[in-house]
Amino acid sequence: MSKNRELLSKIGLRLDGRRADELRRIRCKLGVFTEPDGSAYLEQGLTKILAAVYGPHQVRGNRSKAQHDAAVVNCQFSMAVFSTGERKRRPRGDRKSTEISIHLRQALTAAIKTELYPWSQIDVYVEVLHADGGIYPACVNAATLALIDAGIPLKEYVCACTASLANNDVPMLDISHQEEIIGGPTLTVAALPMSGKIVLMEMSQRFHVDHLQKVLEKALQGCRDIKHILDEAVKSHIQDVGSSTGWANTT
Amino acid sequence: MALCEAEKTFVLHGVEENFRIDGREREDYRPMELETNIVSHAFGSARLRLANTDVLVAVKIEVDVPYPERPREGKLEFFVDCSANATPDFEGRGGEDLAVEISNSLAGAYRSPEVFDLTKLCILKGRKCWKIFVDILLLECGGNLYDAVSIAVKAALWDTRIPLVKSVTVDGNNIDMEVSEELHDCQKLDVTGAPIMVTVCKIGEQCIVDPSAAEELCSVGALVISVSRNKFSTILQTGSGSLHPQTLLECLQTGHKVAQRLHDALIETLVDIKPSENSVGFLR
Amino acid sequence: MSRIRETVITNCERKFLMKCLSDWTRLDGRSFDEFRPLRVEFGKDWGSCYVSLGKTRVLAQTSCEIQQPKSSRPSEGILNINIELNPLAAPHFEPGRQSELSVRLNRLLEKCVKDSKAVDLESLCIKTNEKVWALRVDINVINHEGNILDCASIAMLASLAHFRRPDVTCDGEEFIIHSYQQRDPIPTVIHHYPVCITYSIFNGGEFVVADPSLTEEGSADATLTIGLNGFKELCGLHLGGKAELMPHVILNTVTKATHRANIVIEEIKTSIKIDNEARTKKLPLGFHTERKGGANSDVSEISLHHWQEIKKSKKKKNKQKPVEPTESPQIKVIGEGLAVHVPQEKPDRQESWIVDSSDDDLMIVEKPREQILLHDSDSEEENVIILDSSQRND
Repeated sequence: MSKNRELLSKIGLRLDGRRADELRRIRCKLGVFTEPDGSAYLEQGLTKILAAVYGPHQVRGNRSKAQHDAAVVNCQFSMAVFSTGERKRRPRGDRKSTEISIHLRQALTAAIKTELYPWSQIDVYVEVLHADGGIYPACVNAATLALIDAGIPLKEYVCACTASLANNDVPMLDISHQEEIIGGPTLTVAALPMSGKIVLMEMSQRFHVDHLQKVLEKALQGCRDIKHILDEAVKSHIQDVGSSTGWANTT
Repeated sequence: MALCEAEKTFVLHGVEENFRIDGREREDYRPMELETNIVSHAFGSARLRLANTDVLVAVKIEVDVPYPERPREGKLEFFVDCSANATPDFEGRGGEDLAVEISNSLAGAYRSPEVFDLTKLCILKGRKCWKIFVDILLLECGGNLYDAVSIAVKAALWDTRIPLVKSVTVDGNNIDMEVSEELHDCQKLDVTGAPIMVTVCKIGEQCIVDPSAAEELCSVGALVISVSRNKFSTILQTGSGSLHPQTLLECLQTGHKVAQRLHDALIETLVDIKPSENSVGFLR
Repeated sequence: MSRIRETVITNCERKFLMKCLSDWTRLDGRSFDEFRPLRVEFGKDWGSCYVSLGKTRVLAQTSCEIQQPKSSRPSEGILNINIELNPLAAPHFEPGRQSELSVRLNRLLEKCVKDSKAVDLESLCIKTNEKVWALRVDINVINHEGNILDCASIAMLASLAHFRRPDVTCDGEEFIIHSYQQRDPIPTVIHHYPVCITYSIFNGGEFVVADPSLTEEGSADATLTIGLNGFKELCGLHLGGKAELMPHVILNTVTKATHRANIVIEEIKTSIKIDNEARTKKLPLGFHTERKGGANSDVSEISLHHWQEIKKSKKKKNKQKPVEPTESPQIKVIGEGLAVHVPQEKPDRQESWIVDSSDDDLMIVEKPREQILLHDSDSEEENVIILDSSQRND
């Protein structure tokens, strides 16, 4: 599908009017539900994600999973059947969802201080309500917020972001579905932005090795930007919750 | 969630006194929030939050071939997905039993032609029809799922806009359909007959509506009554207990009365919702 | 149903491994950037390929059938990749079930070949919107000694590149699939050759080890898989495991991998060329034929454990069978605790003791009863027109 549509126009604007290093609008809210121990809702562009965290609690089901020195992190990724343009047959269980579940667990395990909860389990459930590209990064970001809402100790925020290469030269941030289809390569990076460590990296389609460094740097920059946005959201949420219990001075 | 004996007694006494644990009377509903048109990929959608119960319904439409035995009718299908967000028990295939139960009861309630006219969905007799997928996503369970789901489904169907077919040309085996490109050229579904389900829950000697999760645990049995216009569409008894015929009649009366009230309130609300309003969704 | 658990890597093994790594050695004596010997062989059928990477062995078979294209891509063929991990490879693999590992491997292979558009899917189209070829690569892991992915990716690619589908013509209404005898089969168009190259990362990036063995894989912090083609283009990248890495570690490793990718691709291409030459010369084909001048037949690695045994058996041997000492294989001591067994060139290959013969062909060489000619109408290949109709539709 090599249509001659440019990912980046001559004046440096993308198909949806963003600049190359601009993120899509991120809106988020912590504590959307009361039943889970922590929950969050995150919109990144049109991609909409709900995340819920249960735990730490006793290991459910197969007890042999329990680890004597760390908590088990259990993730399930599922997509609402109406989340994509064409109706999906099943909300979960296909290869791609399983893969995202595995990757989600990998990224979150790296950020959670699992050693504090031996013999226990932390469940993270992510539901995609609307898919518009960059599902995995949005899931990681939403799950981070849900973990924070649940009060689970983290080493630091874990953020994820995608980056691509436009016109074989310019790195672009936060790829939308439209851009994915047109065929820009996509590099997904989940990182701990403060220490700059990468916990998961993944790439599809192709670009030359020489470009890797700048695309990777761009993605890491995206992770840092996202961290700031999430941090703001957490702070304002804490202030709201705190003010209702009367300890913060809200004026 | 589990309740101890003392808690159960407390709930029971509350019902007895007509002053339930959250201060409601026996025939009161909890506050509801309804929002339509919040899933942009769908042809119609609604989100209902009934206290802690959260349901998201989206309607998708596809072109399909009618069943050979009913060539003049379109198709309507319900799919319920219990998200693990609601409770970890729903992880993997854990929510499937409940999902099938709810989708079957919905399909049953919508089966009668008086309830929902499927012939309007036919495009070309025996060849083409619309197939409506009503996808229900349970996001949080705080009791009284049936009522919440039925109201949300009704609202989502109310919100649904079916594209207008301008012309159909038949050329041998090929059928060409011309669908209007205009965004506002669409037909709406008639949902005045769409059933509303009311769960009447028997606790002790009394019957209550809209049980919370705690109250559901105390009840021996419940009756899910779906009412369409003035008639009962289906009645489903759940739970392990049995009902005395006299109680059954009382339940039916209560259910009928409450369903009427709900229906009127819902239609009133739906008319009030401005279509141009910006969707807020979960960010509220 | 009781299932066999995966063998855990003990703390002792892990510590020993780490100690070795800090001395810049590996358990099997390779250097950090050294890969195990690679061997690519082809079977009698088109698209049947056997790859061994050290002791990891993988068999891949490409098959094809005609299907209706996906409505979203009406003019493109379909490529399905399916990796099977059965108990043959390792006892803890469950047959027929999708484990996390198989999903991960499958997705990585798909990304490597499908997303990078290595196979020209449009050339598989027979009639737009109606009929396209659906290629299916089945990858069976025969032995698991670490790094299945590299081995599987090589097998998959070689199998795809080797495969030829029957020719199809259309006379108005009907499609005719020509048998291999009627018309020459058509090779698949492959734009570029992407292969996976895996590195294990220890100690947060301090030690980066190429082509990890089973023990190394199990005790590594992370594995970095790099999909690369001959043009130094990245075709998939995956960092798995529980490591937190600095970006420069990844960039350095990727640079190292480019060199290896070219070697692997060259190996695949030459293997296919040799096979094609053999086919045109109508030499006997298939796995039972002995491959002459195999790259790794002269040096076979043996572990420390075996070396000691050999010493013992040598003494015993002298009692049992007097063999001229000059003819016995040499053992070259490379370094501390390391040895390489170099069998002497012997015309009849009689060896009185068995070495860890991972790379020696011990298959019984049969004289081919009849020469199978490609265009011979009597050959067995005539009934290959029905193409794996039992396959599962994904």
